[in-house]
Amino acid sequence: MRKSLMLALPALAAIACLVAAHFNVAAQKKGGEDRDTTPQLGKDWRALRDSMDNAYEQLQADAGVKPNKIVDDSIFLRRIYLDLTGAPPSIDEINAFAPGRKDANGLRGQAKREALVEKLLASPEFAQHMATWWRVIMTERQGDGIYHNYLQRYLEEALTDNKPWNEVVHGLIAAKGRTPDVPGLGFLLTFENDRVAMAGQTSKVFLGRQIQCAECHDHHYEAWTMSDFESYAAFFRFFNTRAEGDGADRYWYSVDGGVLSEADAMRRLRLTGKYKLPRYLGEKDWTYEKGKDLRTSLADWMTSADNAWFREMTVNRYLDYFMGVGFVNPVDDFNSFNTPALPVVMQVMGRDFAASGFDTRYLVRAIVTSRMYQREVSPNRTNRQDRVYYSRNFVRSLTPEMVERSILKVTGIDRLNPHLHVPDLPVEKLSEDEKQAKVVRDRIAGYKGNLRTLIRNAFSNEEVVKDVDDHDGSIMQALLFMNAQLLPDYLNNSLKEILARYPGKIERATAIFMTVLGREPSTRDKHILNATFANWKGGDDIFEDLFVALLNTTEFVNRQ
Amino acid sequence: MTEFRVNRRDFLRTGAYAGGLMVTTSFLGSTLAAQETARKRNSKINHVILLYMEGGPSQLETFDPKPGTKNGGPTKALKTEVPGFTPADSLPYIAKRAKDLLLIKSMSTREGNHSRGAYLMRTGYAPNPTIKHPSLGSIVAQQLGNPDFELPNFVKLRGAPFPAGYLGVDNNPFVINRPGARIENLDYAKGVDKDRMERRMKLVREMEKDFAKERGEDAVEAHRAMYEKARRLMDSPLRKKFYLDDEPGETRKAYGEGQFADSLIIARRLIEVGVPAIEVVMGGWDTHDDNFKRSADLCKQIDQPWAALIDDLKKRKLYDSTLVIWMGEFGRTPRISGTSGRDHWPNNFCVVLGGGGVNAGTVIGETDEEGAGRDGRGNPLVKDPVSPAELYKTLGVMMDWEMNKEFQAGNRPMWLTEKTAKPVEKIFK
Repeated sequence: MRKSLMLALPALAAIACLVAAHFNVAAQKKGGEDRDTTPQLGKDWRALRDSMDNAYEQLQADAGVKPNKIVDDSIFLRRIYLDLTGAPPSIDEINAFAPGRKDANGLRGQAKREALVEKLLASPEFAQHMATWWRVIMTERQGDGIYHNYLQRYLEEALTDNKPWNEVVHGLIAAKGRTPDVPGLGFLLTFENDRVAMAGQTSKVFLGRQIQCAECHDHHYEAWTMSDFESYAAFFRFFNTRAEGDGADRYWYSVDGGVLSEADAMRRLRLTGKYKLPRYLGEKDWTYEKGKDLRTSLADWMTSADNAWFREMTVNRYLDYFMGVGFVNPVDDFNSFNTPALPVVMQVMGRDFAASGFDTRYLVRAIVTSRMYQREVSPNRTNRQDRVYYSRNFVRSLTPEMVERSILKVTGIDRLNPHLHVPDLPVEKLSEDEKQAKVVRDRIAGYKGNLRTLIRNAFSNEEVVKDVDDHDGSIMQALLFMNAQLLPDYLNNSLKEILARYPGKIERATAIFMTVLGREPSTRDKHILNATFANWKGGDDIFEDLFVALLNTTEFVNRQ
Repeated sequence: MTEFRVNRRDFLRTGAYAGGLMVTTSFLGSTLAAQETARKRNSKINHVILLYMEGGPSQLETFDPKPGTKNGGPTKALKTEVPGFTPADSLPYIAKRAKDLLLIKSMSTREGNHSRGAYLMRTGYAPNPTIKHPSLGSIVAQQLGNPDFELPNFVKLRGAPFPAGYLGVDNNPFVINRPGARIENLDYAKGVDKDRMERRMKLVREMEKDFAKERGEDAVEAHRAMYEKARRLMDSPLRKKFYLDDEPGETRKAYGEGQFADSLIIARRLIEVGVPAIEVVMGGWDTHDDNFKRSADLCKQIDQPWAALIDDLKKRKLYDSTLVIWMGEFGRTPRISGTSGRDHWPNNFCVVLGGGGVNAGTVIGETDEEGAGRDGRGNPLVKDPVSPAELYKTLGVMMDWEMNKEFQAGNRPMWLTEKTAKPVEKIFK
């Protein structure tokens, strides 16, 4: 039924050998000399990357699938900026990377790209964008904005510090205390004490197991029963959040009710209805551990290095994000009819990731510096249907959050309208300069708030994890890009800046092109720009037209 | 799982993958769309207007008042031509149209949480993080609508967007946040006219030729289709139907004043030109305190406009082809709280139907002054309980939806309505 799987089957044995050889799972049992030259799990992201590349190239050869070429610097630059920071590179960033040439440090090719990846991983934009990505996955854009802000802060801090991912998730599942001191509570707060939803969402997002159907009936085609669901949901049974205070002083806190013993838990669970004793999903029953409440026990089990579901789900999600398809698709729906195309690679990758100390940057480095990530998107005659061997990358729609980041970056709103300090006083007590600053600050806030609302409305239909082949958009999106004032004339914006900085018409057009699309124009692009601007006589309207036209291209809302 | 399944989107994909098959997706799309619409429905219902009351209207202050009882509060009941149809005294206009309406007093669910209850009532399915079910309007748009229509097939007046999920973006609601006011981004931007827009779009097409040819033909196709639809809407003469400027004063007078009245006039204007699905959202029904006064005020806001809509549709010979449904996410507790309020009560509440195919002048279900609780096994005690799944199955039968068709939601088979649910025949027979 799954054609991709059928393609993969003959090659499974080969991959098993290859991957095992690279990580030398068998050789680790051998004598001392081998051990020094053998990469050990979790120690070397390049070894992980190279073994993936080699394994997939072998598989491609066996299956007669020809891999695409590696993309040029220009495409790579835009792709990596969008994937790691959520927005295209600016003119200055393009120039610093010097596409097709040596950069200022004398680097080129793979070395230059690896250096850029390091730079981006250390940037605040990376932490912000990936925190947003995770937040949306976790909350599916549901729930109150205040909870989202707490969760966003928690994730941004964790990703800035590159906190081990198992600890990050542990901190969400077992969050205790009150906001704002415990921002991680924001995740469970979004469920507003709907414990059934907590169970369904945590098992889906972090373990890739969709057990929610079993809330009302035994799963139609999986082994999950209502009893499985109830006993997993029972981990959240004593958990409650409450709020105190009003307005800016409002805070939320967790109420767990500690468990004194197994008998105590049993008794209280019975009191709350027909609920079962907690059971780790697909595994053993919960047993009492001194001093631990139910959620902490659940978090311990879920994020343990021994939990294959947790590490493999995480690996699958990152691979899907960067490559367009994961081992399992949809990415968060592992079931007996939706099995990984190549389980061995997934298992090894998962173990390697866990051994690295759940280091997400380690995982990201291994993926985005690989040859498979860097391949062109345009299919050749042999790999049009390839969804398994990673012989190509894909054109992917930007998420609504990436669209927002991209528009803010290319219009230059933040960069060109610096936030000046305005004392918190009534307007009549402000100096003239402060009044000016306040006007600008309010306009920026208004612009951003409006933009966010427009994007939220226009993209409200977007799936949180959009299928790579799904390019559908609603007319509200087109109306937004055609008719909304994305280049506000009441603020400094990058179009005004370009017109002031470059006198020549072709220079201006080139600068607009690079600003909006985040790459240098190709020969053909230059030809079109020349043809358009050769007949131009006076008036700056045409530059605005070009800017808006580029915002309206398919390329602007996709990464390739 | 051996059965061969294909839906439109999968078909497009398969077509697009089958290299060498040089057929554009849009061509395939319109051909398939034409085949889809070619199915003859065995139903005279062509439009649905959902009047959605956000917050959970009190059954005791709308269509199931209990004056003179312990829990009745000050709300009085009006006598009508239909036995059992005794609306609250703040609904005098609707009381006079009792013969045109069907009342369900025994709608019953277990969802006392706003978002879960609203999801259940809007889709007929309980919320589930693993799948997004389409709401009523999206189903109607997909089943009754023409994909090539220049207006959106589902217009929602106020309220949050509710994605069409597996039915695809074409069946998403087009949301109007401030009915009657200029719609955001629908007009050309300042300083831009049709010619200038055309210049811009020409530039877009030029600039993305390479991208289309070399890398993103599917993406560019989809992008262009969406822009074409948006531009057709921008330039459509039917756009004026979104506004009230040319609506005669006497009609406006008949509907009365207020946003709900304006919304209903817009709804009528839109179905008149062929929009199949409308949802009008009215908030404010979460009356935890001061229930009696607030409910009466809210009833007054809906009473005259709703009655005027019935009259207007009849006058225009549209009532028989239009189904009008009034509902909220749940009812409210029979017991009156310390703040003169009523809290959430999903055990029994009211839904009202009128128009095409409805067995009007009928009442389904009955409650006593205690409201209906549940028995030891959790079954509702109300007489003739109706579940959301049964209601949706009924609507499906009335409109002849493709209820046996298997849709694909990700990897999962999905049906427009719960497979095992039975229709409530009293509603249409």
